[in-house]
Amino acid sequence: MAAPPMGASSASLVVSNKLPELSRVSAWLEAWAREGGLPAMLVPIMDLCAMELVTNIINYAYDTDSVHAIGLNLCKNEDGRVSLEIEDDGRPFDPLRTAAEPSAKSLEEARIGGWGIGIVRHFADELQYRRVDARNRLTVIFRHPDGTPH
Amino acid sequence: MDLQVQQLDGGIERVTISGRLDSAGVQEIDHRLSALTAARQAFVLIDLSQVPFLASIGIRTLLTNARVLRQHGGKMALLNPQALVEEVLKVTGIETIIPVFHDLEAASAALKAPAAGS
Repeated sequence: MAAPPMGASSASLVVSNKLPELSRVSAWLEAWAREGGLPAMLVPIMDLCAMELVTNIINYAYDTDSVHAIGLNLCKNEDGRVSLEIEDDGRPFDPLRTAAEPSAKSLEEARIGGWGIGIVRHFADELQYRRVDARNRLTVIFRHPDGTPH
Repeated sequence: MDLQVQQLDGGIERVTISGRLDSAGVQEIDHRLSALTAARQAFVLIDLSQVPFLASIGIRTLLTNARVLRQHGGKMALLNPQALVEEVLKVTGIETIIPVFHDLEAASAALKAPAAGS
């Protein structure tokens, strides 16, 4: 991972592929955002995207129950953009190539699950995916929300 | 994480959830919510005004319980979601299958109305 430019701030966290780890991700993200003075309205949006993506990795990236490390990196750039990078060694998964699920018309036919990527696509300003050394590396970019709603 | 049940007129149960509906939050309320919806005809109004955060796992809980209610001739509606939560309900299309209200009277009326097609 390249060193962040001067004036930028970044932080890293490694969690394992277990659902209780999600609370650590939220706490870490919120603490970093608070220290970095990020706009308050951006924090729950970033938190939500992190929850959805890490939950997907925990639930779907691995064939067995073996323990894997999921790496997270937050970076605030000088231009005000904030990036959340998530890296895992699970099966290849490019969320940019996932077709959007059609909305259900009724309670009976609604599919239970499969909303995570749609939520991330809606709230993130940009997504970048790369498969590097048998690892998925997804970068989620959030722009400074200068009062403009999503 | 908290879950309070209040009996309203017309046999409606107002279930006020307080806290984040994420993985940890859902675990805390899942059993109590399921107990309210299981194997009986109930009209449940989920008050989301104290829920600042709704993740997929929380949507799954709402949808699963709404479906169980429907199977027993009951209904679910959602009341007063905060802005971010409402946006999530919109993006995922949930608001088209579990109605969302910002007014208690309207929500109660909708819950008591006969189900479409029945």
